[in-house]
Amino acid sequence: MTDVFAALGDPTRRTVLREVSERGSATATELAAPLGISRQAVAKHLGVLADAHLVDGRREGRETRFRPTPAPLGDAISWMTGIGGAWDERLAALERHVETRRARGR
Amino acid sequence: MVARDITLPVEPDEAWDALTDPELLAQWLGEDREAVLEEAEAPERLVFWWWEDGEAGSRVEVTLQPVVGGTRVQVSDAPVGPFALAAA
Repeated sequence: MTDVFAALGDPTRRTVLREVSERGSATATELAAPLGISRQAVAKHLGVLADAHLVDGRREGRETRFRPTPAPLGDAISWMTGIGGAWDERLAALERHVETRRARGR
Repeated sequence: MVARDITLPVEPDEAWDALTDPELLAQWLGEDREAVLEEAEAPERLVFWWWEDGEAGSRVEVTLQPVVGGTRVQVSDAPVGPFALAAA
């Protein structure tokens, strides 16, 4: 499996992934114009994202349509419920950190 | 997408310093989390992508805004890849 870090390390690739995630699905042709890069370049980025299992490609006529890799429903639900609680904890940690820094006189 | 906010009783500069303190970020990241920075505009906006164990992660946007009595910190966390559709 291609490292997610390598896949997400490129800013253009992050934009491509964001577009696919927001649109629900996209082909290289559909993304080329709005992103202002060639269809070939988009296709290459989509290929790297697919290798990292971040998107799934399916042939549709002469093109390949990419969608975010589907997660099992249970995993998606636990992501959503887990993430909110995690942010409550992280923001509480930020608040404590502000107080600690104040106490240290920074 | 998950959104949260908190108001800290300090000026934006001080809130920003606390937010970007390696000590806090190490705590946020934990042991298995990796991140790449997309944008850092002190003391207003921090955008990064992070994930755990090679799993698809999410894009996090943190904005700081001066308010009466301190700084409002808003966080939005939007999943990318596998959880994007279910959690949109």
